[in-house]
Amino acid sequence: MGGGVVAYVVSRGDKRADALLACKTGRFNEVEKVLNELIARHPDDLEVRECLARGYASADRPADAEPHLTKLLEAKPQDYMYLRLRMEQYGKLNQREEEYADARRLLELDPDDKMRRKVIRLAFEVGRVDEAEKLCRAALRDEPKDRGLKLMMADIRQAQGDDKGAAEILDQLIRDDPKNYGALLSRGILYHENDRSDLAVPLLRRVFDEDPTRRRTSGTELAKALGKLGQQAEADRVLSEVRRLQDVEVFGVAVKTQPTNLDLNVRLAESLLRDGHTADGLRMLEMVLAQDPAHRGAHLALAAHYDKQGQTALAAEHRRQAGKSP
Amino acid sequence: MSRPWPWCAIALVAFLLALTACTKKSDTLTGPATDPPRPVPGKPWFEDVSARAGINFVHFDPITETQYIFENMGSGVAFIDYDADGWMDLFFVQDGPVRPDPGKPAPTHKLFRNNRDGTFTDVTAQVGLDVRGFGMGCAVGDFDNDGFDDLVVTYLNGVSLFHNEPDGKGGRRFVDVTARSKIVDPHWATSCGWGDIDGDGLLDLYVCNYVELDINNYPPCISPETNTPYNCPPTVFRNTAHKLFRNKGDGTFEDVTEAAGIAAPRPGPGLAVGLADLDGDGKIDIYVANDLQSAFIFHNQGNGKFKDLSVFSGASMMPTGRFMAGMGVAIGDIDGSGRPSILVSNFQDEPTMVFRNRGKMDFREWSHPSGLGPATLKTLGFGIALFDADLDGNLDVALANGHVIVNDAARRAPYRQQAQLLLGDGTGRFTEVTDSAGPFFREKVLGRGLAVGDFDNDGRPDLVYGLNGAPARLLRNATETANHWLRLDLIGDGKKSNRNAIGARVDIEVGGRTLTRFVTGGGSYLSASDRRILVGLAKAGKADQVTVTWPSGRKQEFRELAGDTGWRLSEGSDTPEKVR
Repeated sequence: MGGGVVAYVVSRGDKRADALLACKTGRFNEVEKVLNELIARHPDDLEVRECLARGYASADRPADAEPHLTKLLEAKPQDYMYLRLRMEQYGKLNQREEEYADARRLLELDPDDKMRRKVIRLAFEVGRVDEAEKLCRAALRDEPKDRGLKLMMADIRQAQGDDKGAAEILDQLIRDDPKNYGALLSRGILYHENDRSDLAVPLLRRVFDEDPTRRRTSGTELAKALGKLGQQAEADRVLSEVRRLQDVEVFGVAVKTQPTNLDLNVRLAESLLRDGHTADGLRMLEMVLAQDPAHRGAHLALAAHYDKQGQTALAAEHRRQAGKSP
Repeated sequence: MSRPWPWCAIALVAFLLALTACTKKSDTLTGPATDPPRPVPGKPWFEDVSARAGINFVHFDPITETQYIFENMGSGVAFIDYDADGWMDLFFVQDGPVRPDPGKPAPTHKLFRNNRDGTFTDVTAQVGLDVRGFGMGCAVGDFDNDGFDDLVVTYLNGVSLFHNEPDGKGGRRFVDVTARSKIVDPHWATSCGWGDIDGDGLLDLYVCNYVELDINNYPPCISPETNTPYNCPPTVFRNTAHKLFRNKGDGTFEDVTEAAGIAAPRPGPGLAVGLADLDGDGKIDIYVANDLQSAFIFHNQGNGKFKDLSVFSGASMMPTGRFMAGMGVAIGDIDGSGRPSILVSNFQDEPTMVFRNRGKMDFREWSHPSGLGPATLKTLGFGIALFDADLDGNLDVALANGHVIVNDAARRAPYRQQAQLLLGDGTGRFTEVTDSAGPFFREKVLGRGLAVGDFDNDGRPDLVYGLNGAPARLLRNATETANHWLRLDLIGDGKKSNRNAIGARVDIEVGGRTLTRFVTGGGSYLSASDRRILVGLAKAGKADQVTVTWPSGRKQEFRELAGDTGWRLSEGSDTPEKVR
């Protein structure tokens, strides 16, 4: 019996050492099962638990990583690395309150500037606006010229209902850097909301034309401001680009859930054609027909499009092909 | 041979057990999350009285392995005073099996009559509402101005109109008049709402349609994250235009969807509708929340014509230009501006949207500053209602929450979620009080339908929640407060104004403040609330003046209305009638 125990201990020891080695050398997926078996038997084995936590975090499985990090933090509440890793998992899980609480603790453990900015942003996001303001003011005392902090302060002021205070900050930011697109966008929105759409339009147009990362947001706001000024045709033109971006996003999600559903691509194409993005729409329909030359929906969409263009022969041909489809 | 335990060992074990018990008790008392909530004077408090009241409706759970998109979309609930006795009765819409088995009768809708003593009696069969089908939403309205509320029920495949008629024995019954009314909508209809779109004194009907689907050719969806079957997003399916039916006054309706401009915008998956005069021009407008599509803001142009202001109103999407997953709608004056703002419940990780009304159909996005946005990121909202829970004169918000994806472990979004309650401060800002509002608000449920009404006529607005695949919950407002209240039952003249007074505006002057309330059509998700206006007067024992602007445009002033009283205000009559 004594020999059995020794054999078990040795075997467990080997297994554990091998699994830890594999985990630490980037082969977590090969030993995930073994590590879980080990932790089930020995819940206090912090080294194995840490491997699981790190492995899941690296594998972008935040829901699996978080419980291990929480257990690790019960054993070592002041461990900066565990806390930081857990905060990141909460962030991926959109658990903002928990992310904020961890960020707050991290800031207490190490008053690092980057973390301070994160805490300010998170405090703002979870609705603790006054706290965000307090922290942001303190940060600005240390770094009075910091543009990111100033932009954050403008958002805070606006959320507090202090449009005038927000405007002053934004105007200064734009004077300092006329290409500060974040500030231009916020100022444009503020102008529009304060019934100065005439002043909003040039700012929003600059963002729309020059900053592709803010194109949908700036386009939406620009269309609203143009509409308010009665420039409906231009507003509709901008809006058609916004709709294209929206459609691509929304249909993109749908296509991911049904990768083989060509009808979704046809609907996206129809939408693009309707909003005047002819080349994109036609390309998408060609792609569908390349996969299924008899796709009835694609032929009907092309027929409708060519009818509108007055290309009746082409329209008739696609209608004929649609008729042949099963 | 076993040795007896020494006494000292027994004493030690007893001591440890006692210590454990003490520790457990202490844990329970100290942890705020585990504390049993108790009413606090002045703070909102709701008690679940479903069992005591005899509300035993259980929503059917049609869940299948395919996870059809409609399986967990829930069904609506309604406060309806069907016998016009001044006491709110309760109606529950029922769904059913995806593929009904002819051998097994599916459950029916339910109507519970208010016994006026805090209890209800099931009168479903007696009134002819023992109807089966995959029911979704409902709307309450007196479409023929005969003084008795009629009922619309929407289904996965259409709409039914039930006319409230005498049963020949001194009671009432509902007769299905759908065919006779010429209301036809062979689509997946969801929320619906009444409102007089053309000022002829007759209620017209708006019906939201969601998506087009064929369960015999259903395309299963795969989660891109887990590669397992899951609920399809609505974008997978095609959409159809919603419906607007004009009441012709002879018991029939005319489909004016095209003519009125409702079909003009790109069709969207509609889930909620609110009808109210949004710009104070005397004409009722229509706000429609769509799921992953721009909301419709149909501005009434007169003569029953509408123009969708869409993005130009500022209330059609999120500030980043992303679509809302619009589920429920609530309309009311949240900031003392005298204008109706719009609230839209939204998806998990997205904020409930608050569109603050700036007048002239111009709205400012106010979700984050309101506090409602941050508080609702953690939930997937469906039913939503504005009401004054603590009678302080400020509108508060209740939400019904619950996810649509059964197992979204990867994103850790719980399927069952807590309902929420947030207190308004009258300036457009809200503070969450969910955890202290009563035991129900700490339960995790699959919330869908939600309606507000004063079922016991004590002046405190109560709540009814419709839960998917579970018993409905009636929550009595048991807030301990010395605040006063006023309940106003508005009766239009039935000629230029509809009898239900949907579209009326009421300004209540009390204690130096003016509280503005609106009689709206539709609202929440699939549900219908008590149409009577329930106003908190705070410390004031009376309203100094109540001004009613009727749908006809007529204005009437009523002075010195005593608080803690229900009043019936009839259009054209200068004398308010004390009702209870």
